[in-house]
Amino acid sequence: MNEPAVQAAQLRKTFGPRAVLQDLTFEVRPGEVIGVLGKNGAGKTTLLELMLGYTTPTSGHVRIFGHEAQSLSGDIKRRVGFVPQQDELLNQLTVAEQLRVIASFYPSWDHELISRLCVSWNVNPQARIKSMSVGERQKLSILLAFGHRPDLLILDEPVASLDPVARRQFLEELVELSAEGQRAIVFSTHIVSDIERLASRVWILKEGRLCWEGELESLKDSVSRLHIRSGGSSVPSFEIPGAINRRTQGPAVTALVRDWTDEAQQAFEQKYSVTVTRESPGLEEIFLEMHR
Amino acid sequence: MKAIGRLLLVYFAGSRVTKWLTICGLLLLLASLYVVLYTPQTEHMLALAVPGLILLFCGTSLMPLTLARLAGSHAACILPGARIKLLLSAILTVLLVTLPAGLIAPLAFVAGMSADVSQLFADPNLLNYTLVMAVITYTSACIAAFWLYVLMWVIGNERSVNGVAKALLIFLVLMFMPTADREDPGAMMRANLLQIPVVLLVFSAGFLLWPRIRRALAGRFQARATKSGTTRELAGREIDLVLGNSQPWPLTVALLLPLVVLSRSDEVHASTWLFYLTIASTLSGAMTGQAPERSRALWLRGDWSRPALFEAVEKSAWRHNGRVLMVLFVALLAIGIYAKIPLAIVAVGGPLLILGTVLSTYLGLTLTRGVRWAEATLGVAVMLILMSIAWLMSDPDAHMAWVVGLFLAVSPLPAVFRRVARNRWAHIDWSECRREVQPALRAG
Repeated sequence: MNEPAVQAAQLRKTFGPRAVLQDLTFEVRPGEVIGVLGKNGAGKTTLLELMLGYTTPTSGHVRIFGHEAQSLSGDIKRRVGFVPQQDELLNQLTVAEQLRVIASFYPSWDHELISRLCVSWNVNPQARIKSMSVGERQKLSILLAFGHRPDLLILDEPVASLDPVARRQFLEELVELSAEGQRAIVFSTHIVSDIERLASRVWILKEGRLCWEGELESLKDSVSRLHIRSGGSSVPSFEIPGAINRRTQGPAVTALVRDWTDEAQQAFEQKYSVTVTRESPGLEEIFLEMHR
Repeated sequence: MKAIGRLLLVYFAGSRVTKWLTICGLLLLLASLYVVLYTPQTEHMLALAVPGLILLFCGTSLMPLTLARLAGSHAACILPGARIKLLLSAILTVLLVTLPAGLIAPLAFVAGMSADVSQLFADPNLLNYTLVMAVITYTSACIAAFWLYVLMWVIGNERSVNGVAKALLIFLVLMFMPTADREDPGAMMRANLLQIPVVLLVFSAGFLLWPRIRRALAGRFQARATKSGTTRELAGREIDLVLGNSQPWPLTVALLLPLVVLSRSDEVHASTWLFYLTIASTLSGAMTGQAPERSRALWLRGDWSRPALFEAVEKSAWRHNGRVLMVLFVALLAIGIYAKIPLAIVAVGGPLLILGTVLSTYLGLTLTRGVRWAEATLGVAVMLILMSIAWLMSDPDAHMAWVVGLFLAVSPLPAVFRRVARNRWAHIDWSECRREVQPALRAG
């Protein structure tokens, strides 16, 4: 039962000459909440679409509950829920009608959950979809993905159009859902604080590659920002072990480093006769530094 | 002025294709001007001008859609004078795109009267007559271009049955619009000169006031929807709903309306009926072109492999198009009886309608990667062949061998299109069939 919800190996996707994703290998295990971070164009949507079998990998493979994403059976699909970035709602229907249409595809649909969420998220079942705001449509899209209580929930920027209150409610509901049984959740977002609040693991996509994949706490623990100051007026040339990036400003160097220890710092200071101040950056700062 | 200039540049040369269409159109029109002014007159004097005008118009064919998008964007609410600039740019496009018609046609007319163009200013009567002709040609072209843009706007902006229905309704109104006596150039010129400001004034008022009108309407509709709270029976129609095939009747009504109007005219030839019915049969099929994009919502929700999904989509398309086809059949029979169309034409008309529906349905299903050059060319070619068959069938002088030959030539195509469609669906990539998302954005 503890099979990975998603498993990908050497995943690569190109659009024409442009490689959008390159050699991604990862696994999502039941109970994990993965936050996918990346700049616009980093390949987040493509990655999620590959995981759902919407698009074909140029090479490599993705498996959902052990089955190829390209040829999922009905039983597997019923274990998957998806909130797309651009909603796929039927404008001519009312909310209640849209919910009934989607519920009909699933043998087990939690009407009670959806009714409760409609009330707490302030979604009017009688409202016509075409007259709803972008945020209201987004809430409905999320409800449609929750209704069958999927074992794997994939959300592509689900909170992008939500107001702060709705965002908070959605995150609370997501926390509750993720706490239930062994549900795996993968969501992409630009809002770093949401990932910090919710995700157990973080994937940082940069130029189509996973430049970080691991637990949020271990990412924060393992990444340090160093302020290196030399005694002289110019910067000495030195190698910084585990450097992700470095910036030079006069006689000072600021560097983001991975797996920096007190011993390494001591050795570094002695070797180059510099003063090193170390601080732990937040996820947003790490993300920004990685993309500088 | 700068903003309007930039907008015009976008309308005339916004994409690579429209840029080349505009350039080719202008070159042909320049060549045509040379032919009219400096070469001996022949009956083919306007052979370059007509395709030039068409190409120039096609070069601006994205204008209505671009205008609609910009007018509906948030930027239009924020930027100073955005709506008025958009409006002016649209009006200027109409005035510019038809300008060559106003210039070349009267010159050709003068040359056609065996008069040297250089003598134009020497003869006041000829000059006066030419000016009247120029104004008539230009204003008529302006009116025609304006309404064509409006129809393109309505269809392109909605891309749904509603859009087609609205466009057909506008078409109907235009058919009923009073026209001036064609024999009297003065009356025609006066009618055109009256129609243009009236139409532009109404359009401008509607365009500029639309945000207010929309807000008022939206508030009223929302209140009514919330109050009524009625829900319809949807069970069993879920797949059709998702694919947009659940309601064939609005399209059917929209297609039949012009037939009712046409039936009021005594001078409608059999070929006109067949032409219209053939176009109608392909329209229902063309709606199927939305299926690849819409089927994305179905993929995760059923026990379908990609080939099985194709079959489900195909069945849904036929549930929709089959009903429209049945109604068109009945319409053909009714028209046949009403307009006393020869039985042979009615008999061959039936297979023509089937052919139109089948071809367009499967052509629509092949659009798993949006409309590209190959599909667009194929679509136009199929329409031309079907039109030719309709025309040949109702032409008493045409050889039946041509009709049969064209039928035979086209009849294997549905099977070919279906095979292509099935193969494409076996590997459908939903990230490629979204019309509005470019690959670069898709990566986001």
